[in-house]
Amino acid sequence: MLSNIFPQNFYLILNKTPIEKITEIRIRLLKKIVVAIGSKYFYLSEDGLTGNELKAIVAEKTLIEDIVKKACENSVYAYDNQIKNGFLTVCGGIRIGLTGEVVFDKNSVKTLKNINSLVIRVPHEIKGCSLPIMPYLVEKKFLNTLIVSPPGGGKTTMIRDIIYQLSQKSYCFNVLLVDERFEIANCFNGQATLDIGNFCDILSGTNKNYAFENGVKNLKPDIIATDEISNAKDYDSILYASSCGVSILASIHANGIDDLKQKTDFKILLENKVFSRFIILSQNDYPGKIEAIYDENLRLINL
Amino acid sequence: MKIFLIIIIFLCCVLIGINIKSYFIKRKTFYQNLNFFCENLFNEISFNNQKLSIIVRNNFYNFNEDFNTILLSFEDFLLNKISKKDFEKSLNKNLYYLNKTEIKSLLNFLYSIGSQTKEEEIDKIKKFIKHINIPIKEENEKTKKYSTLYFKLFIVLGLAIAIIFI
Repeated sequence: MLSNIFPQNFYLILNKTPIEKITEIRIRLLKKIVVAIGSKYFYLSEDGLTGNELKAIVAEKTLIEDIVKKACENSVYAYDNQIKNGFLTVCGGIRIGLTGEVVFDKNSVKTLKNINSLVIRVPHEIKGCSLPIMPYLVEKKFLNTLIVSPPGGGKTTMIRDIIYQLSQKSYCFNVLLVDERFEIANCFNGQATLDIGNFCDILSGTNKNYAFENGVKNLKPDIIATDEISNAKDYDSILYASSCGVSILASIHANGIDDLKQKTDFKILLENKVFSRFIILSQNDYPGKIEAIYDENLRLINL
Repeated sequence: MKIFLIIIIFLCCVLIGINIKSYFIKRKTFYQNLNFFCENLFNEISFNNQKLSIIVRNNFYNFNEDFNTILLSFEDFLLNKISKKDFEKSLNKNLYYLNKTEIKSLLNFLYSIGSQTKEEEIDKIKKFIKHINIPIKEENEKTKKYSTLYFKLFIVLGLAIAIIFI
C-alpha cells in the first residue's frame, strides 16, 4: 500500500523498518521524519528506525510534493475537494492529513497551497474486533449506536468491522455507508478496497446531509453508517434518518461520555435519546480498546 | 545491367520523395493529434474531473499508431511502470520528426499536467492549445506547399537521371 504514495528511494528506506506494523508517518518540512509503530514514535534514518536524532532523515520540500502528487495519482486537480478539506485518502485506506497555507475565496476555502506537513495514517483492518460488542447492538433491529473516542482511538476500524458483521448473512441488514472521507470502505474507481461485507451500499465523498436524505428515499437501507459526525448539520441529518425509521451507526470525537455531554449542538441528540448505545473506545493500552458501553439514559452497561 | 541500375536509382529517388512527403504529413498529423488530445484532456478535467491515467487510457486508439505509442508509454510512466528516462527515450525514438525544442516543450507540458488545482490545469491546457495552434497552421501550410512538391521533384529527378544514363 505504502509503495503507492512514496517515491521509490524513500520506500526503499521504509522497507528497512517493520513496514507492516507502521501506523503513522509524520513528515514535516525541513524537520526530522517520525514513524509510529503502535503508539511509539521513532525517527527514520537511512538504516531504518532510530532513536538517534542526529541520524534522522530531514524532509525536503520535493519529498512532500512528490508524495502529494503520487498520492493523487498524478492528478492533483481530481483531489481538489479533499485537499481543500485538508486531507487525502489513498488506495488501501491510507489517510494523509495536510497542513499548509489555506487560500480563502469569498469566505470559503479555495485550496491549500505550500503544503508543509503530512500526517500519514495507515489503516489496519482488524476482522472481528467488534464481535465482543455485537450482542449489545442488535435486538431484533440494530440499535442506534455512537462510537466515541479521541482521534486515533480506532473508531474507523471499529465501524468498518461492525458494518462488515452487520452486512454478513448472519445479520443480513442492508447497510448504507456514507463514506464522506473515503476512510471506511476506501472506494477506489468506484470499488471498495477494504472489506465491508456483502449487504453494504456505499456513497462516497458526499456530505451527510445529501447522503442521508437521498439514501433514505432511494436506497431503502436498514442502517445508515457514517464516520465522524461533528456539527449541527450532521446531527440534523441523523435526526431526520432516525425519524424515518432507519437505524444509525456513527462515530464522534470525544474523550468519554462527559465530553459528549459538553458538546452544545449534540445535546439535541441526547435529549431526543436518538442513540441507544454509546461505545467508548480508548487508547490507554492499544487503539480500539473498548472502555465502556452506555445505554440511551447514559447508564453504564456491564460488559 | 544498365537498365537495372537506372531502375534502382529511380526507385531510390521515389523513396526519398515519399520519405520527405511522409515527414511533412507526420508532423502535421502529430500536431493535429496533440491538439485533439489536449481538447479531450480539457473536457475530461473540466467536466468529469477524471484522473490523468484514465484520460490517457480512454484516449487510446483515437489516434494514429505514433501517437498511441506515446500515450501508452505516458500511461506507463504515470503508473510508474517505466522510468522518466525510458519515457523520454521512447518519445525521442517515436517522434524522430520533431526537433529537440519541440520535444522539450511537449515533455514540459506532459510533466506539468496533474500537479495543480483544476482551475490552474484548465488554464494551462488552454494556453498550450493556443501555443500549438501556431505549429498546426505552419505544418498545414508546409504540407500543402512542400509535401507533394518534393515528392514530384524527386520523381522528376529520378526520371532525369534515368534519361541522362540512357
